[in-house]
Amino acid sequence: MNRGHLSASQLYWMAVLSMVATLILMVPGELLRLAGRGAWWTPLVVAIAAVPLAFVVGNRAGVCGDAITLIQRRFGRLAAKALLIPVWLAFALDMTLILRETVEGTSMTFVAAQSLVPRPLVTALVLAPGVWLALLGSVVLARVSSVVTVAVLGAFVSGALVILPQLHVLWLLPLLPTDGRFWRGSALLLTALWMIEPTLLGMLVMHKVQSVARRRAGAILAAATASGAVVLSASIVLVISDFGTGRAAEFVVPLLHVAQDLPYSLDLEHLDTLVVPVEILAALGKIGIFLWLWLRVSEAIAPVRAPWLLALQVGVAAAAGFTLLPNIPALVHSMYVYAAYIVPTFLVLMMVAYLPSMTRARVTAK
Amino acid sequence: MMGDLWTGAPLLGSRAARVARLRELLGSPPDLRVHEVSAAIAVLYLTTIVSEQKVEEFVIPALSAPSHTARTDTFLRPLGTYGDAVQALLAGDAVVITGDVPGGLAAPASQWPTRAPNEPSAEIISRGPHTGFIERLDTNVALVRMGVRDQRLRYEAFQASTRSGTQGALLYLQGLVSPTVLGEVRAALARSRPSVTTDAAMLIEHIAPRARLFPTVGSTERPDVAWAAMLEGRVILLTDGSPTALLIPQVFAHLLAVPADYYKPALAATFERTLRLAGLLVTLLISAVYVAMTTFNQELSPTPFFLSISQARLGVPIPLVGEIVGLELLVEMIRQAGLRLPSSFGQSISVVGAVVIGQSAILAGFLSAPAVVVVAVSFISSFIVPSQVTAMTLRILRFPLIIAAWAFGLFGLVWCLMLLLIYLSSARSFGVPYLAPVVPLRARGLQDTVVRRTLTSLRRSFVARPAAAAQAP
Repeated sequence: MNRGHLSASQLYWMAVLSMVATLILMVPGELLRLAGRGAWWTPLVVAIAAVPLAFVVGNRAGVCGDAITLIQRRFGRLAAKALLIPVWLAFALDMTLILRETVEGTSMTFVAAQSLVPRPLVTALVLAPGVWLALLGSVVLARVSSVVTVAVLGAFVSGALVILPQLHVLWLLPLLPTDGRFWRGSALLLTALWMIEPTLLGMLVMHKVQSVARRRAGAILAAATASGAVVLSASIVLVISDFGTGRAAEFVVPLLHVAQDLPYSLDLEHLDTLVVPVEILAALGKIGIFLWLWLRVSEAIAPVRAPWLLALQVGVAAAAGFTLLPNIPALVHSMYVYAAYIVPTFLVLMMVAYLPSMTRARVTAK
Repeated sequence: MMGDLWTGAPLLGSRAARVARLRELLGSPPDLRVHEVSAAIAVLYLTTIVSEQKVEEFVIPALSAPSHTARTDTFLRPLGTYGDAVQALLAGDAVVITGDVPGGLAAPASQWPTRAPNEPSAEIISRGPHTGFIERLDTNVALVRMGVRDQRLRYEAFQASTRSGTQGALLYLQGLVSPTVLGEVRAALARSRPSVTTDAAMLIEHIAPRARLFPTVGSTERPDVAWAAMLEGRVILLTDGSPTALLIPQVFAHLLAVPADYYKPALAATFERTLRLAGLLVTLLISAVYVAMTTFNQELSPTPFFLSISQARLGVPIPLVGEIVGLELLVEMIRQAGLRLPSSFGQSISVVGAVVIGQSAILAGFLSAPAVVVVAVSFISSFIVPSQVTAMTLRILRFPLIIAAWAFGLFGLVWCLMLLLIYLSSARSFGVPYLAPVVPLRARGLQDTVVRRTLTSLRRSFVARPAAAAQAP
């Protein structure tokens, strides 16, 4: 199976899938805690800087991909590999988080259905498609990502369209900023960190598109990606600021309770049951992405070509992370929360720096 | 065994010895006729597959001419070994043995049983050409040439089986076909060595051995479909003795299309393709979703709907999953029975099936009405899918989906769909991604997938090679 050849669009879809799932993790709740009910203004404020930044930086992103190569040339192979160790850890952490989310969510489903399924079995079920995807390689992974991303976005857009007629403009009035807490540096910084992911994603796309033909098209795409993320972020914070804080599941449920509490001709009381499987689908695909990235980075750090050995390496590391993480109280609060947005940001940064050099000769534009 | 030793031996010796040896090699069949044209010349042929009229009118006059050996290049083919001579006789040629000339000569004079190129019963359309391929390779090639009168049409012969000696034809439009696809087809044909090929469909497993779930090689008995496929940049494989043409590559989007789509307005074709896609999804999912909704994710059903199902299931002794799986199996058995029986018995099977399953089983309390409805919808939907191979695959895939839905609810269903998606995303048909042109996205191909644009706005297909086509003469 072809493991290295990625087109710009395939890379884009992989990154978008990664971004969609990360965007709805925890950050809105944390942001609300910092910025109060006016938090939904914060992404808009940050976006004022983010969109032109994406445009400008995107136009000059050509050198990003050579970062690792430059380091290797200046400081040697060992230094370059040492730099990759945090990336490897970042992949591990993020994948562990997603794995935990998915397995916990799935386990909760079984508990709700009053039939307990052993946790190892659920973990194996969750990991199986991811491992298969990772072993099949980047191209298949990107194709699956493109389908899953459309399915996830379709599910959310459909949900939003169903609920939209039931929202009353007057309800937005209490959400208007009254205390100015959203101007606080921590909230803006948090949002900036949050926004930097799609911004960098735009740069990444720009970097790829640039190699195809049109610089300007790539820059516009970068700006469009950032703008889309702004709208999505603002809407998420808007809903959460009214219906509570929390993580992905806690975001979806109150969103759907809006429809449940309102008179509506359709029976939507359990629409969330329909959305959750799509989220699971996204998570399964995303696990594959992270496993693949992990494999690639593992290969770069210690070139091992045997797929079974790498799969074993990934499995052991994931299982260890999965078991270890919830047992460290400090990590549960700090790393578990902050890793959700800091790690992906770092991850995307490193993707920008690392992936192009890793696959520079092999990334083909179709 | 003795015959095998002789097949490579040179065709030498006296005329009588050569004739006797050939007769022995064929086992002295009663239809082998040895026509003594003169004291020096004998003509051998199998009367059941050779036109004696052709022999009398063309072969013998040619031999009687003083310089008949000079016509060897045009009409008579030289034979060097006993094996060549036997193969010529079995291919319907007349074999000429001349006393003073070593070896032999073969003259084409075959007359195979044949039939008119009538419309194939499995692909009947109301509007469009009503011809079909038959069991003769040359006739089928002629039918292809009739529809594609293009100088770029290339015809390559190949041996479709080693033991039965079946000949095959590989046809394509040079410049329009992708070199990758063509290379892979040639490599697959060279690699595969089937001993017997009684139908072109048997080649599929040899040239695409990894296509286990969904078909990666298309097939048709309609020349118009083959014409369209060639113009789309696909390769056609024909074999002697088979009315089936193989179309390569075949991707998922091809499963939704039928030839009649192009003989009706674009809007109607789009509507019907959408229905087929819906039918495909319903066939695959409805039973599993029903099981998940009633046994695992009960909160998904609206209360009146759930109460109605619960009421219908009161007193049914079989668990729901057993009921659905059992019904699916029963329906498959009835379908198989209907296929095997003569058409006059088919109606009886339908009546027995409908009365026994649809009415008596429910009245007796063995089955619930909703389960029968779900399985019936699933069964009928499977016939909306044009490809029978795909419909069969979908029917088989229903069972693991039902089991997964029963064991893990919607999560299990999604898990199975994820695996199916990964499989489809990794599958290729001779180098072409199976989900193309949707994944990877190729805008050019989207104009003729679920939505069919008007014929005037249709451009070249996504499986063709535009650059090469542009360079072609």
